[in-house]
Amino acid sequence: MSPANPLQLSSGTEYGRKLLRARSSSSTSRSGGRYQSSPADFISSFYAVLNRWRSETAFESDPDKITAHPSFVALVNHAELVCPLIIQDLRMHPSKLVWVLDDAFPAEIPYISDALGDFEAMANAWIAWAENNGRTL
Amino acid sequence: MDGRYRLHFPNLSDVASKKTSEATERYNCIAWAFKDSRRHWWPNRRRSFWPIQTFGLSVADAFVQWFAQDGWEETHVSDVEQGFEKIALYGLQGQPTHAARQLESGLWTSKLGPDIDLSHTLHDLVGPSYGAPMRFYRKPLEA
Repeated sequence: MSPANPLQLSSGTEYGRKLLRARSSSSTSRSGGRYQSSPADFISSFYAVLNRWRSETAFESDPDKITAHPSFVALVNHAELVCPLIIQDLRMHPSKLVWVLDDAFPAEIPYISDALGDFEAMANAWIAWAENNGRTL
Repeated sequence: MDGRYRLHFPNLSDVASKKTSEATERYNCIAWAFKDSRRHWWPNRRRSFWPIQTFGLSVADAFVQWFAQDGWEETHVSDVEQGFEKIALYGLQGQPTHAARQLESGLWTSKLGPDIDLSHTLHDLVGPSYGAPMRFYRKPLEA
């Protein structure tokens, strides 16, 4: 089952307000008659970017190669905005997506080094961090 | 089912009959070779689990050091030898890419990155993604 419409906007949550601000600012980017992408566009393409990263690194084990993929870099660069979607994905499937959060928020890494490689432990730590910092849907 | 594997493993066919688990990101091929189905193993101290400290070593040397420390010896024999378990280390241009563990039948068991586990011949996984077996290791079976 797909996530319960993660892109539905609600001004009742911090994430909803952030998305609404992003979409609001995106409208001005179109006003010059020439379209420029905005942070809100990345939210719309989140799952496409995620699926591309997963499929194009599907048989790879080397973290350096997996994290050099342009889709991974894009996720890190937009992590501030898509963090709640990452957290939602991690709730369903603990995975290498934790590496996106490691790179996006290096000062916040919430697990001890003994957890490295244990995606379930790493994901649970990031989920708890997100819940404590208003970064969930 | 074979379509998505063909590009990476041109020698691999009939994947459905060789598959032994569903896909999971929980562990990877190196972990599976060492019988750990809980963690992602790689000598990368920022990302993954590795059983020994390898600060300053290349990835290739980190593999060599771990095999030695865990009691494995290099062998040129890829066939089944009574009393030994074996691991085949695949590589591309000298760099480790993948590990497979030998089964009693002489077939090998592998986890394909975050994808499925399967039983296979060594030739099945030769290709652009994993290269070819570059070293074999053996270790006496524990009683």
